[in-house]
Amino acid sequence: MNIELPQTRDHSYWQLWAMRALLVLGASHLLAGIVFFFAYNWDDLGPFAKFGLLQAGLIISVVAALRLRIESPAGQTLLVAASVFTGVLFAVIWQVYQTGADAYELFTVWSVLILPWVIASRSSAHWFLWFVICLTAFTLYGGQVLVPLGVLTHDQLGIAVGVTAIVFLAGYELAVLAGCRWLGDRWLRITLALIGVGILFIPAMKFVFDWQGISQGITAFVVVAAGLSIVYSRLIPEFAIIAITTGFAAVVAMAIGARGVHEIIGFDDGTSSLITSLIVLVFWCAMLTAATVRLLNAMHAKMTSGNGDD
Amino acid sequence: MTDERLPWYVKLVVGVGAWITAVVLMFLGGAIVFVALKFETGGALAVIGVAYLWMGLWIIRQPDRGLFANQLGVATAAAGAALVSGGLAAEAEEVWVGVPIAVAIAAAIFVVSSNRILQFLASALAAGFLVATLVAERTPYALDIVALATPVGLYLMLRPPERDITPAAIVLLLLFPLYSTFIVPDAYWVRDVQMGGWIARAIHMALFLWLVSLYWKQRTNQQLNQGVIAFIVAALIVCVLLPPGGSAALLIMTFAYVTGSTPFATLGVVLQTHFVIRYYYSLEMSLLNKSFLLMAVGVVLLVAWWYVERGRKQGGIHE
Repeated sequence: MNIELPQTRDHSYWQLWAMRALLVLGASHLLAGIVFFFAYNWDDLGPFAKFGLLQAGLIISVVAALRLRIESPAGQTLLVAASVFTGVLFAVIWQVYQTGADAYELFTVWSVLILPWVIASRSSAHWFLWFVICLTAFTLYGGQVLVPLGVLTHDQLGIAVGVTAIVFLAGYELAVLAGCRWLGDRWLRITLALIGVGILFIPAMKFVFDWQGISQGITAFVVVAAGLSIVYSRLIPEFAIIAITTGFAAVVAMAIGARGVHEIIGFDDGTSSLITSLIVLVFWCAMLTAATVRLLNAMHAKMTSGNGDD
Repeated sequence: MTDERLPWYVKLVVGVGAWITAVVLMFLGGAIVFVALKFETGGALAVIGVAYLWMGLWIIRQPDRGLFANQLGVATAAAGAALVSGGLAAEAEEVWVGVPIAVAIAAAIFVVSSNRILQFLASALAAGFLVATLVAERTPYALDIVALATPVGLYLMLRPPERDITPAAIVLLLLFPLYSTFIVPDAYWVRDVQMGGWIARAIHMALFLWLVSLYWKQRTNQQLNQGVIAFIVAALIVCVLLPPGGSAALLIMTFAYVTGSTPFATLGVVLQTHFVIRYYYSLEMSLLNKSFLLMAVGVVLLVAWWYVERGRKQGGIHE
């Protein structure tokens, strides 16, 4: 069985990747286990023991992070663990005292309290965790306060959450431009863009199919997609984000085509209109896919100048 | 006609576009058969599917076709493959009938076309029919059956035959992780059927060992060192502790490391994250027991990391 492994592999990159992956996988499984454990709300473990365990975990994480140097991968991981312990501690306080506080308050306080550790760790993974906590806090605040008060509708809340993710992306880019090179991990940029555009995609599609939905849905999607395309093709070249926005935009355009065909020809006005509508839609979708391929081919060639991308 | 140098996520975008077009084409086929011609049989759907398949393959085999014609051809052939397999399965009133037909069509597509998007869609269709059959028949030991695809996919990825069948190898490699983390947790009937899992675990263990030994033989000239032994021990313990869906995602990551594949590394991370989130809702054991298992896995992986890191700092372990 003669198997030849690819020879083009960058050994030092993958060695670093493997060590980071092993550390992150170990820490994430351990922390997920701790979250599961306290979510079980085990009766045999009294409140004092629960608080004691969590506070001990929190203190040990912070002290160990300081001892191992907080800018080292192990130190950064331990500070992430401290942030998770803080959140679980709040959840247990919520379980034990039945405070009646809304969930958004828990997430808001959590995000504020861990901010110093997030800043100190200089870790993009820690910033991503903080972003997820903030976005969850905002989503819950919208759902539990703004929507019941009539300040926002559910659709508008969806748009606000998507735009918030894009605002975080803008903040990330400004921080990198300001010299925070340690934050410049490509995966964080791409993930923030994917989350923002992915969330905005839902109200945009809802508008296209419902027609009853709010027009801000499609407007926000178009503005954000166009803005990201301009920024990441001209100012900060990042082809992955161009591919993400183009892909989502192509699907929205397909949906607009389907809606247009439904309005003009109709899918339910007899056999001939149904068949004609579907034929037109097939050509529309194939044309959009071809246009997407052509656009991405051209953009890729322009942005990489023949160097290739991953 | 995507440029082979384009990143994998562009091919994904193009694949999604082709798939959506294929779905609309299937609706068109259904409308022609059921509404226009009023044939209410699966066989008629299969006949339309054959016409689609022939037309689609004819279009993409034209040397001077444009980009638009190429996309239309891929979508038409993919829709044809689905209509033929689905139509004959509907005619027979047995989902499993679609499996050999979809496999045969995929094989034919590999012979007559080199379009990778179409090859991937046809392979995924065959895999989809297999999964649908296992679900519809409530097949016992389904996890173990699907796990048999992983070594085949891995072997084909590492030792591609003369005729390039990478799209099929990717589908085979991803079938088990996707099935075990997306399909099985949502199936209410799995509590009534023995789903298996130990053969899947054993397969994953063997594949971990195989990948590590392959890597060690080719990437280094050293004797098996303590770092590699630590990784092997950790991988085997994780395979025993975690449900097979979790170890499958870790296997994908190991494959990514051995071959230096960013797409598979990304996929492995996404699958493992999804696995842990879904595991919270899994009903196979209590949350308390799941928490102990996850903590044990975390400790094993952290000990392996610490051991290798310490060895590297002392200069004893190079990679």
